[in-house]
Amino acid sequence: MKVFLSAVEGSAPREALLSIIDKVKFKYNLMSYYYIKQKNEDFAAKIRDNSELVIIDSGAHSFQKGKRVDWIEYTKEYAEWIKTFDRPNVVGYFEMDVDNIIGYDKVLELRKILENVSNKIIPVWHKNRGLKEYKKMCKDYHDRVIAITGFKNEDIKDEQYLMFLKYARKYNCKVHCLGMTRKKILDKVPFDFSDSSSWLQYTIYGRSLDGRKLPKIKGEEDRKNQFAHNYLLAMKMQEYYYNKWRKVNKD
Amino acid sequence: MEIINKKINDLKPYENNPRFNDEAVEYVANSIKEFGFKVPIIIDKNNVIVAGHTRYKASMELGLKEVPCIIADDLNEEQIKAFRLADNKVSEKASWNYELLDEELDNILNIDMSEFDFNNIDIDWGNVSDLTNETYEEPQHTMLECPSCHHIDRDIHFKKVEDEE
Repeated sequence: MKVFLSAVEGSAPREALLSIIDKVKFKYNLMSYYYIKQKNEDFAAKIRDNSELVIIDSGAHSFQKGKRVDWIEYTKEYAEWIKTFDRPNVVGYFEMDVDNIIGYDKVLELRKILENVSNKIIPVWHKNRGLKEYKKMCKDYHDRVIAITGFKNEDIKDEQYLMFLKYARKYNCKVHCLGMTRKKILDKVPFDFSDSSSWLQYTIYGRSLDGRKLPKIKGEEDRKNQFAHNYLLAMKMQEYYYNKWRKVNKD
Repeated sequence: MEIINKKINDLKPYENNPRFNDEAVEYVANSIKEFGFKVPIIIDKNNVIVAGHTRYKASMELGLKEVPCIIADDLNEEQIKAFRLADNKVSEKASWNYELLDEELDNILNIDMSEFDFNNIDIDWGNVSDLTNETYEEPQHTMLECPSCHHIDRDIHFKKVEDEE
């Protein structure tokens, strides 16, 4: 399982990553187009070029929190940007899965805009689409990446993830479980990909990812070092889950 | 370099040891059981452990009375403090070449390497239910409406506020 580290675009995490980028080859990073387009394009390119793999979120998660845009315009911009950003180490680009705001039919229209420019668009299944649509997605996207959500009790109950995975494997799909950070599940369910911003959350709350309390920060330099410290620990976590599931996932 | 056997009860763990090692104890104990005590514990002249806290805990767990030790009497107090950290730190820099690791593991046939946390974890997909309308049950949510702005959302997005009297 490859756990992509997310939330790297904020100003403090950005500075932290830039401070170690020449010393460390990053593994897997997830960035959001919503934040990249806010003057972070150069940074995103740097992260891409120094990462083993990168995956791009459409920004749909930001829209769940109330932000609104002109959907067609935004998606067209996203598509144009994909054309310039794409490299072989970019696993894919999540679709605009804003079903709960504009409905699935409109989401399909937006997907079409994206698929006109790339064959790496990742559909994200939500329960409103129905089980039939999940199965259709696995068939249509055989040998490619698909996504489900990992937020507790949102679309899938914890004990049902393995069933979803089993079905996807029939069509050789790789499954990304969005926002799945719960160790209890990651230790039992061999998703191909997931993502985590725990390294950031822990730093914000003054904790080291290994559980220790971080010393009180005395300035920006300390703050940057603490973000970098937890990012590096998160890379150990990436190694742990890769190693744990690499045989099951044939990585 | 002399290796001497010391009574385990005479050894003193360093009170400020900054490493969490409890999760590793079981595997180290398995290693000692399988292969014997091959890496001595490093102690200072007062029997305080410099390197080998996990081996010490594993030995206690195995009920060993004596363990092989090396006394680092050629190091001063500061060097001992530094070595204690450095010995742990350098291991963080190493990582696995998985291709070579698999080759090595494939050649070990008669020793259960999962005893040392080399997992051979697998999923029995045959035992996982098929995904059908009968086996999939949609999670149910409680929806709430904000009394102020009338925004409707899942209960987890609302915070309980005590009444202000």
